[in-house]
Amino acid sequence: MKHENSITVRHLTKKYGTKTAVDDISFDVEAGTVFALLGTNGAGKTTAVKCLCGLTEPDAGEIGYDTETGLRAPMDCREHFGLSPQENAVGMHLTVEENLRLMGKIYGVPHIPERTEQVLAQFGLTEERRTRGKALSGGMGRRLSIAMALFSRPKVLFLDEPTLGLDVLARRELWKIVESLRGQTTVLLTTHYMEEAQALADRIAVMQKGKIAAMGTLEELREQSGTDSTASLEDIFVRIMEGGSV
Amino acid sequence: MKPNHSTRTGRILALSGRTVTELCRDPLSWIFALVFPFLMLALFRLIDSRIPPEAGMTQFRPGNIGPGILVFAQNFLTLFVALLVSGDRDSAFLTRLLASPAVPAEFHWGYALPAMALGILQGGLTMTAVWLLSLTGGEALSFAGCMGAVVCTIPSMAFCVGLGILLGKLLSSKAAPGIASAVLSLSSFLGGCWMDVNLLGDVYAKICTVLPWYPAVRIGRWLLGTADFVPADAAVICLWAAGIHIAALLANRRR
Ligand SMILES: Nc1ncnc2c1ncn2[C@@H]1O[C@H](COP(=O)(O)OP(=O)(O)O)[C@@H](O)[C@H]1O
Ligand SMILES: [Mg+2]
Repeated sequence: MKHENSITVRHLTKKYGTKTAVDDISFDVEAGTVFALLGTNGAGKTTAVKCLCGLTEPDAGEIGYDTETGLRAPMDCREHFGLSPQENAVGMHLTVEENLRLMGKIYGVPHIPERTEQVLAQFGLTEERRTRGKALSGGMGRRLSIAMALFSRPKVLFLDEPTLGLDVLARRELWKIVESLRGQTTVLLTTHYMEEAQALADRIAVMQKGKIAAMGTLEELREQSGTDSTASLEDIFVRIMEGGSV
Repeated sequence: MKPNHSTRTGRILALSGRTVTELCRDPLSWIFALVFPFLMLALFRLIDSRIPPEAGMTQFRPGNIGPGILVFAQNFLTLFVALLVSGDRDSAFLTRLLASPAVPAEFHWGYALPAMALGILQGGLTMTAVWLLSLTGGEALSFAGCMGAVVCTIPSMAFCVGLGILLGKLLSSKAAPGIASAVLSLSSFLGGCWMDVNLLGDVYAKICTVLPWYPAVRIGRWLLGTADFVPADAAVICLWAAGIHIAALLANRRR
């Protein structure tokens, strides 16, 4: 039971033409923990997420989900996933409520009306419930996009740059929500904000040019990069980037 | 807590419902699809009224032009289904749906079923107008025949919808409307919608009978008593309809 919904990734590689977007990465995510892929633009985070949730076929490597019925491939666990893509992914002509209910129907969530109220309240979207997707502000659209990913109470949640475009307060609220999932949901998030990885992640993988340059808890990263205990993740990050692979 | 459980039918219904909502709230394209046949009927009525009865030209009478307009208008479905599908492919919203338990075949029917419902509505309205027009022109058509024409051209309508999905899947949202409009224009000639295909020679006529449009027009005319029944027509349309849907179902380009 302990390892239920944990993720195992081995030698994952994805190429676009001659460009290797994800280059032989391996990592494990323990069930119920938060794992962050930290990296600058173009590091390969989104591509890795797409492979992990079965949207893209990798060129090489294995991805396994440890479930009640044994190790399974991404395509066989999609009903347990929640995905918040990098761009706001909401139906433009659907209202906030309709977007949420659509998720409920596609995932077959029981008691959709009650769940809708719950999620609207959780994300501070109750007042916007009848606003259409295209009329939402960037920040509200972001919230809805993440709310949709959580609607089905997924066992594994993928958040691709979740706080991009959110103001400080909304970001803190989202952090609280992610925090509340710890223990029940396995969360894989990507970010280029140091403080976000530092605040949320149990373990962090620093990605650079498709490879994992360093990986571990914040403490382990400190040790690996040879920085002292006062060093922030930013210091560590800079050290890793300058030094290349650790 | 009860676990999540979704069925194939449930997901198709959810996706269809979403298509209907998106269409209803972006009404320009489909209102055009519903209104355009009336404009054409009015135009041909005007032309017909200028032809002296002694000329004996029946080409533009409702019984002849009605099925032509019926089948021609079905091509508007190609246009806006192609727009919808190619537009969706550009959006992150589809990315999200593709990561859900819904599989490509369910998306296919989630687009096709609402579009076909709209097509039946379009056909019903068009042929009701044709029938009313025929009452005023001395050559009264049977209402049953008019509605029969709508039902019997459902396969060609299904073809148009399937073609729209295929174009939407293969082309970018910039290219799709252009190509679909080209198909729309072509169909009026190749379908003999308002001209006799035999006027352009035997070879041309032969080509028209193996494409889906002309056989559909001819079946419509047969139901209105203005053409003979050609058994091969039904087979040709059904083959095209089945073929295009299979092609559209198989065309799942994973990026
Ligand atoms: N669909 C695609 N086609 C071609 N190249 C791509 C595609 N998606 C990503 N790439 C390339 O792969 C690299 C990694 O991109 P991405 O995974 O989006 O990085 P990140 O999310 O870390 O910013 C980039 O160089 C990008 O240009
Ligand atoms: Mg990205």
